[in-house]
Amino acid sequence: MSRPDTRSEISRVRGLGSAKAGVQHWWAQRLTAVALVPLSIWWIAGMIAHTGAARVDAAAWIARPVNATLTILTLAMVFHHAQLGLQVVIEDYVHNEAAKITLLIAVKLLALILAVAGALAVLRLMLGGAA
Amino acid sequence: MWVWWLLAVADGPNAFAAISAFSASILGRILLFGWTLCFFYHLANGVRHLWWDTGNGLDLPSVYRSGWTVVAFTAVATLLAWILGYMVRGA
Repeated sequence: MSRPDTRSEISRVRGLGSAKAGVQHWWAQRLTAVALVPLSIWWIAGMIAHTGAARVDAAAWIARPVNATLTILTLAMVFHHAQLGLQVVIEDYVHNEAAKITLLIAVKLLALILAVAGALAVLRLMLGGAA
Repeated sequence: MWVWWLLAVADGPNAFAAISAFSASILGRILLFGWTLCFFYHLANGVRHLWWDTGNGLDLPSVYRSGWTVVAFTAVATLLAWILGYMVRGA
């Protein structure tokens, strides 16, 4: 005889299904995508314009307030968008629970490290007069 | 590679010389070309998905048309980016 389930409907549903943040995740992925359409094209154009440029010229370009601002915004959007995208791939295709959790955390940390490192480099150029 | 480049610009001449040499090498150019291709493909297909998210263009003929548009855009944008890059660089 099976034990009767006396839990309420809501307590049975809780803890099942998604990570309970699906809409926010989906929306953040689209918002960062929309932001990255102009930002990434702007950055690529900046890179093309500095093909083979001397370091001082590249440094002076990044150090300009508008470019520094846009570069840091691009960094934030790129790594947030990349983390969200990789999270979906991992959740969909990695079926070993330990490997999945480890990868999810690793991707989050790596994205954060790269974004912070990049932003600090930009700040150093802007504030330190490193050129 | 992007963050490597930013750090190198901030770090000084030695680090910048290293990444400049790597970027200009055959391997560096192949990697950057592949990355450019992937970037423009991801950009175009991403816009395609945003358009789909609005509920538009989901019938089969439109899907085929936008798919080939993405392929064409990727090819043209990648080539244009590299032509401009070589023009800026001067060979």
